[in-house]
Amino acid sequence: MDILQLILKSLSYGSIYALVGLGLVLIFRATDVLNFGQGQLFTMGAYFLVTFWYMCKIPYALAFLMSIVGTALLGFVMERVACRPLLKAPVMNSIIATFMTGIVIYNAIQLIWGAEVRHVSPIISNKPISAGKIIFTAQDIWIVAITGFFILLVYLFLQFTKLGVAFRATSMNKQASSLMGVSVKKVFSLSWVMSGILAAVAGVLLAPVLMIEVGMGWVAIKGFAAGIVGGFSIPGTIIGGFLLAAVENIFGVYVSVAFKEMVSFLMILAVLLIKPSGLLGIEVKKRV
Amino acid sequence: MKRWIMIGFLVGLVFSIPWMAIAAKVPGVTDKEIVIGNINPLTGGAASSGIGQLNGFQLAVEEINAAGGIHGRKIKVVPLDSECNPTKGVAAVRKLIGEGAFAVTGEYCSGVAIAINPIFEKEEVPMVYSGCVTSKIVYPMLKWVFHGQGSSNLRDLSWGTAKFFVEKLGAKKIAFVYQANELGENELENTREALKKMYNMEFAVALPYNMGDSDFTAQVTKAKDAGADLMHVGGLVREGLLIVRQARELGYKGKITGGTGLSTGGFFEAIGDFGIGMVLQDTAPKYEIFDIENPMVKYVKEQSIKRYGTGPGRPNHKNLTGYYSMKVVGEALRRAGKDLTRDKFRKALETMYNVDIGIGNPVTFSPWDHEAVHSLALYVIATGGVPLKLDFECTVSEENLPVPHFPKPEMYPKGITRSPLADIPKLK
Repeated sequence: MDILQLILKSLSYGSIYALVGLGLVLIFRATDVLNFGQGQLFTMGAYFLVTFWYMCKIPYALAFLMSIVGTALLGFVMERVACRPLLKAPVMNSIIATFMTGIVIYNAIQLIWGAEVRHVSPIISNKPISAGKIIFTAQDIWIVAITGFFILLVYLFLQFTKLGVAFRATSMNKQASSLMGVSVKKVFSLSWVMSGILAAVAGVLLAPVLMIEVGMGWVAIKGFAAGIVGGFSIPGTIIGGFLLAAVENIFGVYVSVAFKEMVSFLMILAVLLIKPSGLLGIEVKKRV
Repeated sequence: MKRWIMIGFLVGLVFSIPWMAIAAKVPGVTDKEIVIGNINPLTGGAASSGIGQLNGFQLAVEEINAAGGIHGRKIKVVPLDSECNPTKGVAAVRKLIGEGAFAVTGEYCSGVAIAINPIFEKEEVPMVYSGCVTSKIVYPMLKWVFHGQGSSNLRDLSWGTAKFFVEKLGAKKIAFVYQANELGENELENTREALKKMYNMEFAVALPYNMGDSDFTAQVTKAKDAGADLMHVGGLVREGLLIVRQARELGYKGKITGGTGLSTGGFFEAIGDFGIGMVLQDTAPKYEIFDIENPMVKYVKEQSIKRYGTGPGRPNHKNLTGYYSMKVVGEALRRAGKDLTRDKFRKALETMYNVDIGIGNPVTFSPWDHEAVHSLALYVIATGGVPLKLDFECTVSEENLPVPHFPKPEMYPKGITRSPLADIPKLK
């Protein structure tokens, strides 16, 4: 099969990896905390959609919006529970707290929705469309387009709003930002809310592609890999997500289908060994 | 002196009697109840099947208990979650045996079965499977392990399906997509052997995947590149569904067949029109949960909904296999008599020859074959994901199997061919 087909088919999964990775990076850049509960935020997005759209029969667009609001709120609560009280504690404490919060959410999902696998029908057709040798579906285009739209929103927000500037300043230097009158705590909350929004979008988009189950938060590992490959920078993570999905499929077809899933971990290792700052990461040098 | 020694001996004997009585006590058996453990994946990707099986099992137990139990003893079920994970399965079985379960039943996942079987053999605890299909639970035969789910194992299923691939579907190049675990590898090896021996044919390509994978672009691409005119998809519902969907999305136009792990309500519900024309192996050959005209199916389905509710893909035909399996256990307990021991229970199972337990295929075990049923049924998916039974039901012939499967009837102890349990009034 044409390699171009493989790359194009990887775009939809790459979008999801990029969204989840971006959520992780936003929190990390603002707070220095790596959110190990990001996979559960993503899972909640999908379960909110199931609840609002399938169970409550709310129209899709509104259910989509409500899922985003619900997950963003959850992100806000996570910040208040797992991050804010530990501001003065070592960062490792906050990381462990996010991990534990993730486990709590995982168990809460089981308790509320049960452990069985669910499915939702795609809102956009997933019948194959041929364009010469290339085959794709309208759903692939939908996923990539919505991902692109939200990435653009994040970019515009960070570049052209006061809060966005405050976010960027905080991610560069918290102490200096605080002295300049930026409410660092507000920025922390904002990063978690934005991360929740991106996780919800990824969860809602992936819901019809995957089967919905309590363990679907595995995708956070791919987001994490995308983040490391991209050097935990925002554009780097987006590129990392797409790159990871494409390399996985190319590796699966031309090297070994059995070890395809190993690729993300190999990429993490390779980046850490060869260029620890990632593809587009800024190398931080400290005077000692 | 001798007199004192004699007195001491007698006193010792008197004090040791209660201890001897305790030692002789059969685990899990009292005058009033028999404790049966049940392990199944109650969480995770295989949960709808595991919960379905447990519910079917519980329904049969409720029936038996409502009819007064067996030899005056009520059955108590202790369910534990294996999570379809061998390590968790081993821990669950050890817990059940440690807490005194008389026998263990259930388990849907083949990988778990392989991990837990040595425990039953070592501890001499009977195990009656109601869901998993790996041929390794019956080939080679294990003394304490029985396959009592009302349909066959992967060796029988694979030989029958291989015939279907070649003779009915006219397959020339087969892509075999399988889960890289016990279930998948067992199906792969059995089908490979059957194709080789019957038609001197090899797979065009064998493509593994891991449980939890979501993007199958590479597998589908390789199947297309190999020119496969038939793609067989093994594994369980979640991954099977994604593979079939993605194959069609990527424009794969060949025939698609599915393994026994896909043949459950959740799959049919979710696959919809993507599955049209897809052929699936089934594990409950005589009755299907969709066979709604069948009174037995109707009964199990209605009672399951009434007692245990519905869930995604539930009730499904695993409710039937669980129900079937407990009927087998109940019949063996009845045959083992009031003076119940694990060994008597095992031997009672081995006396069952062509026994009608009131549902599904008759049960036949023997001291050299612990597989209750040897047969295969296939379904084709019609519009809307509705499964239709194909007119192709076969009993695997003796020649295809490595051990004598159908021993002469005169070699069996004479037994009752219809169980009184089949006549127990149904619950209202």
